[in-house]
Amino acid sequence: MSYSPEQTLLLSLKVAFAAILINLPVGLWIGWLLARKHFRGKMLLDTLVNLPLVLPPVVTGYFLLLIFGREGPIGRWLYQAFGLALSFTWQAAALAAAVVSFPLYVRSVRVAIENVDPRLEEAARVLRATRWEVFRRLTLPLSVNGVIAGLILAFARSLGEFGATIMVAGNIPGETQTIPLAIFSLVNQPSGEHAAMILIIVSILFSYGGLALSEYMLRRWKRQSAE
Amino acid sequence: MQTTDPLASSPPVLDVRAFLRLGGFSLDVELTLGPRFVALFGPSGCGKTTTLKVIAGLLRPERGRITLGDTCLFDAERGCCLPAERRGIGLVFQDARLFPHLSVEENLCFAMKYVPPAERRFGLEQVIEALKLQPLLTRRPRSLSGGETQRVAIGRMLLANPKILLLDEPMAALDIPTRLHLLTELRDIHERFRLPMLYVSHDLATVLNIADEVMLMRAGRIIHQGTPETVLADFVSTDLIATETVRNIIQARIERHDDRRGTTTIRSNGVTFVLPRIRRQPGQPLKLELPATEIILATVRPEQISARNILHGTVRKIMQIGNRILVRVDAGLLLTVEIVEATVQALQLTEGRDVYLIIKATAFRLLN
Repeated sequence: MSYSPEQTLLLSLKVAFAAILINLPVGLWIGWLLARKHFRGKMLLDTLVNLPLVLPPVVTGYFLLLIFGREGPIGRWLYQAFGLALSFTWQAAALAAAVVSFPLYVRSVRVAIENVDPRLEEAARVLRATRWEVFRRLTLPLSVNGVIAGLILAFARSLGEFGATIMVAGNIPGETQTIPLAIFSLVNQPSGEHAAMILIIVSILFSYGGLALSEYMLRRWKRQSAE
Repeated sequence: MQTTDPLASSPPVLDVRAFLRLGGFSLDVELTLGPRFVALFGPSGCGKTTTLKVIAGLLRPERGRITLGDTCLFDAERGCCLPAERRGIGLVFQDARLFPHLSVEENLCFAMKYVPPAERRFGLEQVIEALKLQPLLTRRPRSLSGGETQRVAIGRMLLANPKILLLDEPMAALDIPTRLHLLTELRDIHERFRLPMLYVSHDLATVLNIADEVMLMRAGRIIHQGTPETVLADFVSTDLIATETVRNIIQARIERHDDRRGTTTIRSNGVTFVLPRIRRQPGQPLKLELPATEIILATVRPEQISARNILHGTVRKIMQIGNRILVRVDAGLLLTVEIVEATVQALQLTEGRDVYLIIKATAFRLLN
């Protein structure tokens, strides 16, 4: 399949949305655990969650390939049980983007939940709310702007994912070639620079917009909690 | 008229036996709470709030047993521990803890969805009316005053349909008149809804005239439980109320106004008092505060005196607390009078002696 800028853009958006959709519930749960619970192995979990932040993305991708590849423990199970082969599909690109952007999101969720006064949660328990109801009606609404800010940041990071993606999803135009991969390929072609420039500008706009929006949500949230 | 079985509607009894260590502090409480208004009093750091949290299920004791009627809330030996949301124990915190993202009305209704309509003992309208919350409903918690905040917190807790209400008294947040007013409102709710209450106080003098029973707590233990009189009498050397002013709380109704003299006559329990003109309709209920230091004791009926109120009564109890003397006088209603030791000797006061109480019309302060 040949290169098409619209398709690349749409694919990138699809991958990034899928990535934050995977992260949304898992990150809320892990962020809540890290903010509110004391348990054995908390340090380990914390380190594990943050590892993709410092690990070269290529290494993260390599590990994902080991785990989700057809010979990997989860990959084999997925193939045998559902006939699913994840490697070199857009879903693999989404998984890579999810893992790499996960720490950014979890950090944001954790800080947001830590800033909710636990005394209010105690009060809600006495008012007959179960743990889940307390989270749903109190903790989440009081930290929602921080959570959204984290999601936007993770979305922007997902759009820019390169290293892990190329390891697990490859660089197949129209299938797994997202904006950064397309830029890489175009710049290496003799006449691709003009096409690359469009994607570069799009990238800058998305990144800048994401950061600005995230910052705006955080400010709004701080203002609300300071009221 | 039909009579109902008093046992069928009487509130359940709370039985607590709990031991808990927190850092260097150990809590070892044993208490029983019947259908009454009980004040729990003790110096700060003695474990009052911890006790409330243990009962409500926010802290888990190491050993002990907590039962409410037939329901076991906690039993270390049987390994049962009901979570806070299923205990049916109400707890109003010292700092109110209203939810900042909800309006007053939404705060009030927070727990209602967890209570099946058939079980609700307190209706929204009733609670709003009893605590005068109508004008606050659309407000945000941050815009409320200290007293308003506490009233909303109490209302919100009532609407969670508790079988027993535990209250932690707000300390610095409220000035004394506001606190007294709140306390008398609680007493009204206690009687109106027949809801047992355990009220934690830092100011024994304040609760003395409102509580049916007082528990004294020290260093993690309940050291005494009894009527306000016995608590004062049995703990002669106590420094618990060394500095606080003892206040009489009088619930009364306006009887009539005398516009020529500029006075209002009120009646409480068959006893009438004359006060400066109050701008309210005759028949209306009101609550007044009368500091124990504002009452003068005499053994003969004084004549040609400016004070408007002279009551005849009998000394029930003389109590010494540090270097202060408190005299409980039954003058149709029980009033506490504070005098100095020299007076006891000069007047040869003894329990059972007839005395006159002299109160200036301006000594009363209106609470509501």
